[in-house]
Amino acid sequence: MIGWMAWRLHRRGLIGFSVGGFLISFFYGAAFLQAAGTTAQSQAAFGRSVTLVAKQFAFLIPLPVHPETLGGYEQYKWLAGAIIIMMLWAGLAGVGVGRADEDRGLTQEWIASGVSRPRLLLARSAAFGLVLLVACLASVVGIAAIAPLVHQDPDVAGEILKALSMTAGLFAGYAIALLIAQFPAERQTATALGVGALVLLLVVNGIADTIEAASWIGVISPFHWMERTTSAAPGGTFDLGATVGLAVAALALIGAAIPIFLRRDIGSGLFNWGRRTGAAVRVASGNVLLRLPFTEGLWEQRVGLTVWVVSTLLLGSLMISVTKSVADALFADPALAVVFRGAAPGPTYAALLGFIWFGIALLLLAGYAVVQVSRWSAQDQDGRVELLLSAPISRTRVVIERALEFAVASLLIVVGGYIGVAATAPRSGLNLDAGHLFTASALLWPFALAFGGLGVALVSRWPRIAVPFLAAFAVVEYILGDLAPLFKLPDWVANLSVFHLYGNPVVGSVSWTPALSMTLVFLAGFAAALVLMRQRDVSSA
Amino acid sequence: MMTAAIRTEKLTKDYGGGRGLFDLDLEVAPGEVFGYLGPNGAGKSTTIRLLMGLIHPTGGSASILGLDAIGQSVEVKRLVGYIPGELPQFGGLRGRDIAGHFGALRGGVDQTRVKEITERLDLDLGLKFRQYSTGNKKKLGILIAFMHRPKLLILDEPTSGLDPLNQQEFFKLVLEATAAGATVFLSSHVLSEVEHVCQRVGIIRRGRLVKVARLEELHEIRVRRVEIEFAGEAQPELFAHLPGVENVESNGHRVTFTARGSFEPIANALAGHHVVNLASHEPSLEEVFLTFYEDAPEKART
Repeated sequence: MIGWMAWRLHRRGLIGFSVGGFLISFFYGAAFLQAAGTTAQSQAAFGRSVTLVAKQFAFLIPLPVHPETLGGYEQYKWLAGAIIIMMLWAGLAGVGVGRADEDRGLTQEWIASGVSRPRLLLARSAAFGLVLLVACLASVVGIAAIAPLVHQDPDVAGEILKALSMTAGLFAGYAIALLIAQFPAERQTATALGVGALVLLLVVNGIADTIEAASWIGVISPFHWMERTTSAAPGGTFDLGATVGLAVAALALIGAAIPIFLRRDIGSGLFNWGRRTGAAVRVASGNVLLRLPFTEGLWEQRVGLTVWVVSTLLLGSLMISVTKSVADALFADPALAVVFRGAAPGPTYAALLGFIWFGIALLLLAGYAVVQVSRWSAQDQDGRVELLLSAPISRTRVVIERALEFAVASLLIVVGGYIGVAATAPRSGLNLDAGHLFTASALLWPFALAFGGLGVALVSRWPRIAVPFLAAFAVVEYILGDLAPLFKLPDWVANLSVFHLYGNPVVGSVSWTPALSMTLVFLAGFAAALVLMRQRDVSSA
Repeated sequence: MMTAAIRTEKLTKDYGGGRGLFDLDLEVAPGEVFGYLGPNGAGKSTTIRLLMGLIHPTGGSASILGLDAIGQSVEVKRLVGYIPGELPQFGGLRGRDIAGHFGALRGGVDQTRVKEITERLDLDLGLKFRQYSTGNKKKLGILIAFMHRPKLLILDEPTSGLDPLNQQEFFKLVLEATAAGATVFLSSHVLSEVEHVCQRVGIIRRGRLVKVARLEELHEIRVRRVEIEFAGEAQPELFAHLPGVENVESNGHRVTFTARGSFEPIANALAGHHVVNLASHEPSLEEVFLTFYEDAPEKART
């Protein structure tokens, strides 16, 4: 019974990551055909370009193996991107099993019904391991489904072995987070430490890959051991020892978590540092930021928002600092120059900066919109909007304050990114036009507002489904924007994607039509939100 | 004519499948403490959300202190203090931040009042919301509802989760508010928790108001359980046809039955018989209350 319940609790992740894994593999396969072409020569040139770009980011992602083939390219894209997202999911699941179940009262219910703590932890972990296996195998199905359509013949056995290696690595990540979650006093701290540890291990692996003297530290990272299996690429190898080692390490970490789980109190960590003691507070806060819902919202998410702004600033600075070396390497090869001039036309450095940095910034802002809508959705569903409306606050004001909150927060992130690139640009040797750099950064704001407007409208009427709908919309928009040039879709179709609409304003003359269009999307979403919010019933039940 | 604190006319919220609230006609006078009672799922929270303008009625109307509950909901809420059935999550915000936020939105809140309520309820506003127990969350809800001295308090199961000492303190706050002229509308599914502060109660069952009465009236319609012990063989036939007498049973020297209304016919029937013992058990108000929860015809009992 506990096993079935444990499995049921992961069903959303199972469905989401299995479908996502399938689609990612499928669409990357389609993109491979369009980008690499069908001749051996064009595929070889494409493989060289992928390797060159990957070398600039070797501190973060592994070098590709035979990226000129479908199997090698898919393997690289998975290890460079999707696996990181899945590792974060595994980390959150580890903290969820370790602590969040207790906040929800599930752990207490199970223990009260006679399930022992070790059995509970083992059942929940076994269920998640199975979920990981299914999700990883779904990516193999995606590759197998696209391969005949792109006239490629991937090594399915090698793909399955790669999926097994990924499963073991992700399971180890889950176990690390599960063990860490046993220690801190609060679940939120456990989440930060658990997920932070996995990000740290990703960086450790990057350092080990790029600095020979420090290569030994890679052994502590599951990413290191996952990368040792390259069986999806032609001539690649399956490292049985690394895979079994990851699985054994995961089991050992779960085993280590059990005695701590037995020792600590439910709802509390092994260490209870930081719990407040002292005289009781009997007065309300006089903080002026708490006077309006939108400033209260900004105040409440001040730590998270600071992380977004600083991360965007650092990432912008980092990306601009590697752009020149990537560009010089790419354009030294005439074949690669042709490929990249097609993808990012315009002045060399600026075009590539638009391709590398502003492409990432768009994804970050779309991601922030989803996070913000998720926050509003949770507030609506657990009764916070109900309580807010019990104060003399109109529904119109709730919508206006949400829009203001999003506008200010997204503007701060955009400004953070601009400061990062503007501060680094003079030392990067890119010789960028300051006006274009500012305009391209400024246009990120209406892009974010377009997503925010849609999010405000969705959450005002359908708070329960707003998040998956907006996330799915963002994915479809991104894929459409990504594939439209490759498939040479007509402009009116391509412009349905806000990503495509944004274009690459860091080069060429600036057209204000996209900015106007994106602002209109925001205003339309905002107006719809006003109407929808007035009509609906607000209730947490 | 004095404006009613709460007035509803044929107020209806139909969720389909027989769920919701139907044709609610209710009037609560200014200064009154009105208990709104019913089992879980009866429609108490639906009524309260309609009064607060949070959900839209499918029929009828509601007014609060003479204002339209839907059309003038912002004006209404300037006058109202509200405790929801369950306080929402405020995550990492501290109690003082939440109190400060709602105090600023409402206006007219002074720190002396906040200090007074938190001291009486022993509520520490320095803790993060996620560190609060169920009872402390409820205390925070009470603080938010009472701190601006509203003219009308609409309280959805305000005592659930509170320990007996804090329940007593809460009832003192209610009585003080009414002494200052406020009206209180509070829901509960436990009559005994609220009977000593309410002047009238309304009982709702399956979305329909089945009874509105003063507490004394509930006592008057009570059913007694009577037990009579005869010196000789029991004589149940003496009572079988008496008005208001039901469920007559006998066992050896003893007869038991339930009796409603006047006791006089029973006393007359016993004349000339040798009775050893007679006991009449007063039902608790809770038992009276429960009779309205039992399955019965849907029409309102008056």
